[in-house]
Amino acid sequence: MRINFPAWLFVFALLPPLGAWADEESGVDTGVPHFLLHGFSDVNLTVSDRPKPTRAAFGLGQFNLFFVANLASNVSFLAETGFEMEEGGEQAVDVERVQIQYARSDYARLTFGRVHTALGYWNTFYHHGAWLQPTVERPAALRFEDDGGLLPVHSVGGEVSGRAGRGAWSLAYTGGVANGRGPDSETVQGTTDVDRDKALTARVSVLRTRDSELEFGISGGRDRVPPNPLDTRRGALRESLGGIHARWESTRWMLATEVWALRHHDQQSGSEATHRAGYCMVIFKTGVLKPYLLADVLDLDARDVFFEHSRPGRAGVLGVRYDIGTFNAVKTELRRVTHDGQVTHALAVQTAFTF
Amino acid sequence: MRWRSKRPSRSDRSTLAVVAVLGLTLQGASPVRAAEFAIIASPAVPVDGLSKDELRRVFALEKRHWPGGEPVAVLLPGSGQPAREVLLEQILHVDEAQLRRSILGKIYRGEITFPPRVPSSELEGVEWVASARNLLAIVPAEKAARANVRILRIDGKRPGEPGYALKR
Repeated sequence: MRINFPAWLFVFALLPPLGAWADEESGVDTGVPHFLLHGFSDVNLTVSDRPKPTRAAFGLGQFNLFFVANLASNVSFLAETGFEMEEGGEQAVDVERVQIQYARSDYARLTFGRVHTALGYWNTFYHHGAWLQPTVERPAALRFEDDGGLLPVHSVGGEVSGRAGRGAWSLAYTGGVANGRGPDSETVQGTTDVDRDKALTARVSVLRTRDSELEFGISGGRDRVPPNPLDTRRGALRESLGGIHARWESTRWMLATEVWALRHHDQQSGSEATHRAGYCMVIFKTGVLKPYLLADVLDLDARDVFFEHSRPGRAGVLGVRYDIGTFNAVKTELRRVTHDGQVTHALAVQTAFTF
Repeated sequence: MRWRSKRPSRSDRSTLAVVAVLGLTLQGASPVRAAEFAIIASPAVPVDGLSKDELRRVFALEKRHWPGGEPVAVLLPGSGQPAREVLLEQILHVDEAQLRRSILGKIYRGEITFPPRVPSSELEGVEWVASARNLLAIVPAEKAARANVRILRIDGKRPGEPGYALKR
């Protein structure tokens, strides 16, 4: 969707005064829901030696507006809309999340709308705002659908989630049903479902929290990817995916890792393709400075044309995050990326903020 | 140099006697007590006590409903107050920046809608809890004792009982 960026910015510039009327608690009855308006954005500078010659480029990250509101004591609403600058100077508006949640118990919360699919750790913990995540970019497996990502990181449907705890242990669980993937890897079916199959996902995590927090989890999903009338090289695909995630975090260290496998079975030709991805990240928290290491792998089976526009490869990242204040962080990274036998070296600097 | 022993004078003996009496008095005096902090609750909060793990889940905003479905609502002590340090160090095991990021992250993930309220003083926090339906707060135990609020047991103990967990 191509929208005139200044027009949308003008519209949203009118909203902060409405947000300023919001009370911190929903107990004030004025006859209308109150909401909070927040946002994220980031500005980047990347110096890369490919494509040659070495060049530097400034880039504007996603400008993201985020609304939350209580509609009743146990009913809440959340919406997130992103404005992006694309190559060629075009702007795009993405409705990233629109969800309503019903929660009368910690054991069962119902969420309906467009959500971040409950898979693994990174996808639901870090979302879109660059300020939230420790690194400049997301790991390759968790890139968004329109950025060559492997996983269905957005869904339109319903979820039931909950959390139960005893002592230092907690069990968190989420199950979802959604429209599923569209005919191509970039489409998230938001208004209709072209086939009768629904995508199913589930995630279970076990956590232990005392002086530090330890988390282990497994996630899985299945879907039927419809055939693409514009591409007869494949038929409908039966998709199954599975992953494990682990995290350990103390006041000084954080270690997080995820490993994924996704299989496509072509129902027309009978062929199968398996893709694998994963990352491992270590962060050392020294107050406002947080050095980190990230190793990132995306291995795609070239026989599967569904992901032919994605970029497989391996990346090693060494970086440091400097929290200037509570709401602004500057990150500096050195990256070594291997793709199709070619090695790219890059320096990336990002200032990411929230408001 | 040769040291000569000297017989104490009357004034020296008086001084020594005073010092000896003071020393014995101080030995028998009570040691300085660590300040204790109480978890206070409004009348409709349906629990009389929490374990330390449950207390962490409440103030970490992970536990958001009581068993009957009533929402859990907490007040956070203000920055710089001693209760804030007890909350960070002994209950949540995070620092100030991590707490702020955690609250923002929960809002962005849709786990909570609004951040917890922060009263401007310990007295105001006690007053809010006393007048509300379902608030919880952490305050110095001496302030809780003088107010009309319920004090919850933590790991089965109240402030003043041996082994009470929240002290600084």
